[in-house]
Amino acid sequence: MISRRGFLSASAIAGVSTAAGASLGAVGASYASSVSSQTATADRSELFRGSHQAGIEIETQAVTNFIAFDLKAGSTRSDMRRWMSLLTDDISRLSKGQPVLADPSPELAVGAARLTATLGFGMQFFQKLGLLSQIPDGFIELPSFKMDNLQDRFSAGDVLLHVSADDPIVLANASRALIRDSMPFSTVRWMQNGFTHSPGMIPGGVSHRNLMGQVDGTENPKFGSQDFQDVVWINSGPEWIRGGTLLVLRRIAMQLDTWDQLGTPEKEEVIGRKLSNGAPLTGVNENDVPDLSARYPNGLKVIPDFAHIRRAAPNKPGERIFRRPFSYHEGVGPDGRPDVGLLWTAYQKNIETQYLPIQKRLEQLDLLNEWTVPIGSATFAIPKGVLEGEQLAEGLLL
Amino acid sequence: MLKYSAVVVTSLALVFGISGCATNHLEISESWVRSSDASVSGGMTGMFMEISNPTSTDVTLIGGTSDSGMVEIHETVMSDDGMQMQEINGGIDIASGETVLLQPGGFHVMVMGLNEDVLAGDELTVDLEFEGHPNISVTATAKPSEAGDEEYHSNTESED
Repeated sequence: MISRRGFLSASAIAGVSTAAGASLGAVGASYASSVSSQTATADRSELFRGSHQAGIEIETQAVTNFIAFDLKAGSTRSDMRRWMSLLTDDISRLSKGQPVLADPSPELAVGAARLTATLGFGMQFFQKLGLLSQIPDGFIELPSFKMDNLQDRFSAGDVLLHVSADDPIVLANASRALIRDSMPFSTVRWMQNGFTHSPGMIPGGVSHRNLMGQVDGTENPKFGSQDFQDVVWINSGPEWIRGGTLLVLRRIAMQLDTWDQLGTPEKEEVIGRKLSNGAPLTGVNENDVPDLSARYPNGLKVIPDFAHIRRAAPNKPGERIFRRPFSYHEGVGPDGRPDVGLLWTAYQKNIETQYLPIQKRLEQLDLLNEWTVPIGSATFAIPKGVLEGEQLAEGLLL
Repeated sequence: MLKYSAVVVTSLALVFGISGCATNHLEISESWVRSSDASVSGGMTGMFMEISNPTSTDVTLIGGTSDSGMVEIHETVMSDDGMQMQEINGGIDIASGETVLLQPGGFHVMVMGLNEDVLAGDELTVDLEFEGHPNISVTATAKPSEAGDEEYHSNTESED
């Protein structure tokens, strides 16, 4: 796009200039267009107000912080309403690239950069506040799975703020503001940061190339589709969750050193997809439907029994989820092994009937388990969105 | 902040009996008050805001009243003993066409003798008194203060 715009601008200038002027004009126009495209990231914003919370049915942002809080002892619903009123105003401003109220460093509000902050509640939130009758259908804490090696410092939490942006400075500043206004009510339990690609690296969407090299996020419901509505957005139960959804967050460590001992054909068989473009081994393009019955002339299945996409494929029509994964890279050990993996998310109406059956199949058999270890796990109920004049979760905290 | 804007618009509409005229009255925005646990803060807090004067006359903020406590207009000054807050003689001048910022470390509206805690997320209303302009009622949201959060007792508030 940059070169095309530069070319068009140069042509327009050439029409009114001398030959010598035209070449200078082309340089100037190309510079101007490249400067404006350099700062396009700052200007893009996501709508905070709407029937759903922002940060879910949108293209993945470049960087993310999942921040979990535990309530202070003795917290009341009245306390929670005050917290939610502060967060509602903060997120509304940050989404527009504005400083929050009473911002000690307003100069850091350098642009919206598609900032979103999505609020969720863990099971303990409902228990601590006497809100058991408000727990949505299908909202559960996950059972332990045999491949799990979960750590407290990456797991559970009473309240989640999932903050994302296309710029790391914007993300850091917004996270700090939201944490600052949360401290009268809670303590931080953990923060997990992740990333996808920088803006402009790949066409918009939610699939990104994870650090095992796979295209992650294929076969999701399409934004704005009835399918997305059916899979993700809750339309029954308590009023506060209608328009909301349920989130499963899993921190999945990757054993890259042993993974990289495999050759490309073996890596592709583990998943059932081509590494080059994410196409199923039975197809050509990423979004081709995998043919799970296809066999080679020698009778072997093209997509093996142990392949991840065969095990994850729905057994029943409703067993589908929306994934919006981020990668993490925390550093590297003295032996050179990177601490890398996924902040893997699944959004659905009902964790029990949508995510759980898939996960149980992967627990029984999925060769990918050899190189991936879940080390963090949490589930959160994501309240519906807020319209003008409303505040987050107000129907829950009456 | 919506709620605050609504309050200001309402009070101005009452004062002038009109709406939609933006040039003959003060404009107050970005108002907030520091949350304050009375037992820690000595029952005081500061209110901050931006006051713009698009009118053709100079205006002075001279004081105010509040159901929550006693109101004074303060400034922060450097003295031999360090930074000190003190009442401003003569109030804060807001010249025609000017915007004055009330902020921590500078001008502020002091509310003293608070009759209850101002908890983060609460709203506190002060009726500001001006020379050269009718009173304006400002409702500000309480934001967490930098100091004193450790002693914060959110469980002292009764459930309603």
